Amino acid sequence: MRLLRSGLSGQEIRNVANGLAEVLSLKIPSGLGSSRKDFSQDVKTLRRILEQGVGWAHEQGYASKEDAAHIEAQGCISGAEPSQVSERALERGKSQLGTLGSGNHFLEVGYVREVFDERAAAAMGLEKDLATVLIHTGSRGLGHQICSDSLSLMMQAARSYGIHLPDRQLCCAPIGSVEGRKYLAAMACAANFAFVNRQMITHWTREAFQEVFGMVGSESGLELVYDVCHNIAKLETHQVQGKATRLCVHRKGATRAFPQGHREVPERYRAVGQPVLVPGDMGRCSYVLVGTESGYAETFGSACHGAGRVMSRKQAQKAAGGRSVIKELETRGILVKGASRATLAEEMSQAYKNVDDVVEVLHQAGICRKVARLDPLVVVKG
Amino acid sequence: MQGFRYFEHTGDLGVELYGDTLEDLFEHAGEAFTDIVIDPSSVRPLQEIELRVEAPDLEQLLVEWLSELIFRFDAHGRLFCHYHIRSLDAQRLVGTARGEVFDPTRHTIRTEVKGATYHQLELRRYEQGWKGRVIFDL
Repeated sequence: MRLLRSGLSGQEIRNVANGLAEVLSLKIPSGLGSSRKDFSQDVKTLRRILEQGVGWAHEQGYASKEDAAHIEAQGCISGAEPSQVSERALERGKSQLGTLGSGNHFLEVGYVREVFDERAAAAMGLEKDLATVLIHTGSRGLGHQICSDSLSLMMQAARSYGIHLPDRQLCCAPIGSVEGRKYLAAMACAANFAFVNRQMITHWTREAFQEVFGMVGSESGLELVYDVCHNIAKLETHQVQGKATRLCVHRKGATRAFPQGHREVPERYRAVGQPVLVPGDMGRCSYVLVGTESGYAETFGSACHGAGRVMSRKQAQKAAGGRSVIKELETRGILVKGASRATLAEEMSQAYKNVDDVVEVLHQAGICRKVARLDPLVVVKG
Repeated sequence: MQGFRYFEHTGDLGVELYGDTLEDLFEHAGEAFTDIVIDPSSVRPLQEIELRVEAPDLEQLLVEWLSELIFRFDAHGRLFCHYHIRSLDAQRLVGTARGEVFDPTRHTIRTEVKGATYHQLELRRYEQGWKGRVIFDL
């Protein structure tokens, strides 16, 4: 998940919404089987991307030093070993850099509707009515293939370590075992690929803004606020019953939420806490929060990554019936591009919990603190 | 009768599979996968390719078979409208699939499948034939 801020206002986006949606959907392929034949990588380059993450993008001129400084782990999870990634995973990933994919993945241009915490918002350069860009996508087919490959290996490992499985999908191996370490090395590759994927989408989004708003040179006014993983396992040290303990924290459908003062929080945000991004559905809004000390103690510094579904996809499709979700959103000033009819139904507001309620729980429980609310204007979906 | 039926699963999608024989059931699993990603009637049987899959047991073979189809689509854009299992035992499957390469101007987009899972995976023999269930990660 990634948040960019612009120097433009919400009104400036509304004025060109159609044109901007058009250019964005041309530059950033989305949807089923989306790929970029024009940005296909050979195996050697792909392996470097998996190892170096955003460091590679910086070297190629697609990322600034400032960008890298505002990404979790500076856009490169250490310990990545491309030799642990199968040929099949590389083949799936080679034309997928800079693509959104489908389902709940999206690119959303919106604006700051409300600021709750002036000091934290100021640290992030966010102010009322400022236009923003949210990017939600990950490691695409490469990551899914690593998952499939690893499931087969873990199935064997669970057997050989005598681990009883209540469900085969829970197949596993001890973290310190050969299989465990190999998996973590492959997973780091997927995370690095995801960072670069979002970086390339950022690059083409900047190009789109330059084109639409007639900016000159490399000026797009889009700066990276923060980029954070939402499905990753990390080795971290936390207090457990008063003792500093090394843990493997698995944040699945969850995001990191570190408090102020933590050394892994970028310098710019160290006095306020790590930005936490919680997107809602495309018809409601999204939130920026910051991690807190109490959240760090209670959840090992983790928060939910989204609102969560209330309807299954099939249920949502039935419930949507003959409705035109796209028109309903349009009347509320939200322009949706590129989404299939099925995706629109599956992703409509009624299929999700209300993100306002979910975020209120995070805030009231002290897990995170609300900073700003972002409302959507232009959504590119798969 | 259609050889598969969807069942509800929040976030993901479950499929119940039926077959008079095990070969039938695996063919129906392929058809279910196609039906999830695209309108099957829009796929033309232009090319035929051979598919081979191996796994330590029958249930894992079903997941590996679906993983093979997911890979063929995601890496090469291959979509199939007809599946034929030529030989099948507990650890090995050889089959052919007919179809064409994904063409965004012609094909009706439905849903992207991330993977086939082992969650609540079942494959059983009944008096009337075989029954199975698989949950896809979407």
